Amino acid sequence: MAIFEHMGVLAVTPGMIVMWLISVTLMYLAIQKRYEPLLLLPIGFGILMANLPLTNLMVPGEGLFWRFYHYGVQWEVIPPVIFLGLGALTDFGPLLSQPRLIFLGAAAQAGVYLTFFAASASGFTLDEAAAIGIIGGADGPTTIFLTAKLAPHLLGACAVAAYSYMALVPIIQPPIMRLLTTENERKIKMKKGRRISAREKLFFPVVASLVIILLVPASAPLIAMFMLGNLFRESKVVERLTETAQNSLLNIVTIFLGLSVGATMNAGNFLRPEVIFIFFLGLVAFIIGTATGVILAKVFNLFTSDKINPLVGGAGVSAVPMAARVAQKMGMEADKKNHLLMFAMGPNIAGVIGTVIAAGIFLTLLG
Amino acid sequence: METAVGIFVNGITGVFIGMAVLYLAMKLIELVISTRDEPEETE
Repeated sequence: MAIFEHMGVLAVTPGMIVMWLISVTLMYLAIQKRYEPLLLLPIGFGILMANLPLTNLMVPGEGLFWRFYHYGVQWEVIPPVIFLGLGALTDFGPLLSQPRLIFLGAAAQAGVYLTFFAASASGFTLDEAAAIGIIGGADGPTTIFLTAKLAPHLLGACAVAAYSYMALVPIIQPPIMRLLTTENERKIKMKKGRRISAREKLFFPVVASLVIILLVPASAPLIAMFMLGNLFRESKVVERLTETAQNSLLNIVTIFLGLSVGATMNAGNFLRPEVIFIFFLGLVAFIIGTATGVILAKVFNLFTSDKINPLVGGAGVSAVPMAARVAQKMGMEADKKNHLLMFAMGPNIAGVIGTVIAAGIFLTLLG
Repeated sequence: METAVGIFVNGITGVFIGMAVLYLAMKLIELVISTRDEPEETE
């Protein structure tokens, strides 16, 4: 009977079943362990749907999920809109009060470039190596933005690796930070920065947009939206827009981003030995980024009397605010009165900007 | 076409230059604006 020929159940392949297991694992981690649930849940479900046979969900020009992916990700709409929301949520006060901490965010990008180099030496093309390296920035939207442009066939692997490692920040970072610091260094109490006026916060997004985009024009889509969101917030005259960017708009695009990324992960694309290697390299990038941030803080301390607690250097990878919370937790483990959260937010925010600049430089040189 | 070494060197240099210029911009904001303002918010 013809109906049996059109049943999906007869077209299931072993690869699809493996992808279902991956999908269920991600959904389990999202629901049960609360690992980046806002992204991993739609990604997991997207994987499941994209690996059901005969659905045509990802058929170019007609599939529903393909449309989400094409118009949302390939057209570079969703990651910048997510940055609008992130900008509206970001307080640059901690960074403005201690500007020197911006260099810790820059140092963490060493992980991006060292891993890029390692991936390139391992046989990946330069475009693929850039997409793998940017995982070390621990910034999901930037990873998706860059990978969709340079190596779209790796989008699923790079995005899942980035979000997985962001979720695993509290597990990955502490051993590295402990290894690179002494007990006394972890006890360093940092001096409070100066007070920041509302006007300074208002000027910062405009000035920062000008500076960064003039230097790295390719970073404009992400930086422009990030700083616009922040301008909404700091202007205090468009509270409705700020609230929309922070909540409903961010939530809406997150749904479509997760679904689109998950839907790109079909068995043929994902079940390859390189993908395991990509996850490994992504982890290496993340570890190096954490280490270089900590090490630069220690180098600073050689030249200044106003000491930096090296733990805040680990927050130079983006992963806002988890990486800053790790610094806070470890600081309090060393000394219960050592509160590092606000200090760590400086490099943490700088890490976001640094990763976008790194992505912009990749696009400039490779795009 | 850039080589991997070229991108590596340009990339790290570019990120540090970008952040250094942003640092100077922050110091400029501090110099120009904070001296005229009474602090309204704490860090």
